[in-house]
Amino acid sequence: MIDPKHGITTNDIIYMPIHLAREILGIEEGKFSDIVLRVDNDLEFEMVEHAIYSKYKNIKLISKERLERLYQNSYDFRSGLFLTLSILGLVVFAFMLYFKYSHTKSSAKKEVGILRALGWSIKEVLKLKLLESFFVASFTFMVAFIAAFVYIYLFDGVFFKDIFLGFENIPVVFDFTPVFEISLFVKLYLLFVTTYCAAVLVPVWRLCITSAKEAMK
Amino acid sequence: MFALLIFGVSATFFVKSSILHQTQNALAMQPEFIVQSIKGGQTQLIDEELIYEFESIFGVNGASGRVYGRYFHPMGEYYFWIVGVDPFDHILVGQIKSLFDEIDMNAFLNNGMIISSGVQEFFKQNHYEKSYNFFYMKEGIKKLISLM
Repeated sequence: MIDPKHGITTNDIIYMPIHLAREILGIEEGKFSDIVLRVDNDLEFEMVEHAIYSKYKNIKLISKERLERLYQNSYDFRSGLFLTLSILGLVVFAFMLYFKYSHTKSSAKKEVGILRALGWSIKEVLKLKLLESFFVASFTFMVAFIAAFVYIYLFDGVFFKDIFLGFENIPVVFDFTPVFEISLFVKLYLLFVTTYCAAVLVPVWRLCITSAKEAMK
Repeated sequence: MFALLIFGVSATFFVKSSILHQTQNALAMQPEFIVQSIKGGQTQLIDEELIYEFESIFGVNGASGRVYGRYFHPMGEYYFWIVGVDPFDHILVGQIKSLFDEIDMNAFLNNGMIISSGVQEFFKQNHYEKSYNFFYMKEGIKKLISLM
């Protein structure tokens, strides 16, 4: 059996002797599904392409680079659907956080009012709230990021794998190869933590510039 | 909700990165070009003579034909990709050797087949643990033994 660690590209493959494959698929001797070319020198790729296209009509040449791009586009499309939903979720969450501080009877609003009444300057209140939201967001981010890593790579992304890859054909059985990209970590960290801090600081700043009496109402 | 969003987005990126990494590894074993015959926009079978013609092109270090195709399981909408292995095709044999730790080539060439983990799971669910009957394109049935 092909080891599941080789990934999804081998999930539905059956290797068999060529004469049996020909009989089952109805491909007669002297005919092939396609032809593969080995070109060792990268600098000669273009030349080979030109030589084939100039001599042969009705021929389609697919380079390894193009194949890789096709796979990438396919995965980008799938992940794009998930990410669109997640970004929508993030926007909704940011609004919820914003309204928590803007709501007339919220405890957060009263808290800011009390701090202002005690003589805290706008800068001090903003600094406190920035630190508070920064630590809350960073801690939540770390926990959720590590949990996702463990869920996908240790528990093999049960359920999520089926949703992401679909189950219209035979079962998808393969192991994920752990890949950790520091750039991905930084990008997600900045996206989530910045959004969280901004969603807290903007309404807090608005509260700070109103009078303490008004804020505590 | 915030943690759930981070979890979902991170999980999506982890899955994508992992699959992409595996695909890149699989493609690294593939030859540089695939040549297909097209007629009326459709892919057709390609003649063997073209292999020798392509081999004579300056820059091409090797050319070989591949036999593969989609085989639909008769009792449903499920399908497998059948890949024919020519024991003299060094490129494909090399790929297969890299995929399997141990393989009995004699058993394989004598009505054997090597199946993927997805196919194995499908066979297990449908009680084809040891062998599977393939219907020939013309007529007849061929029973192939799964090599574990």
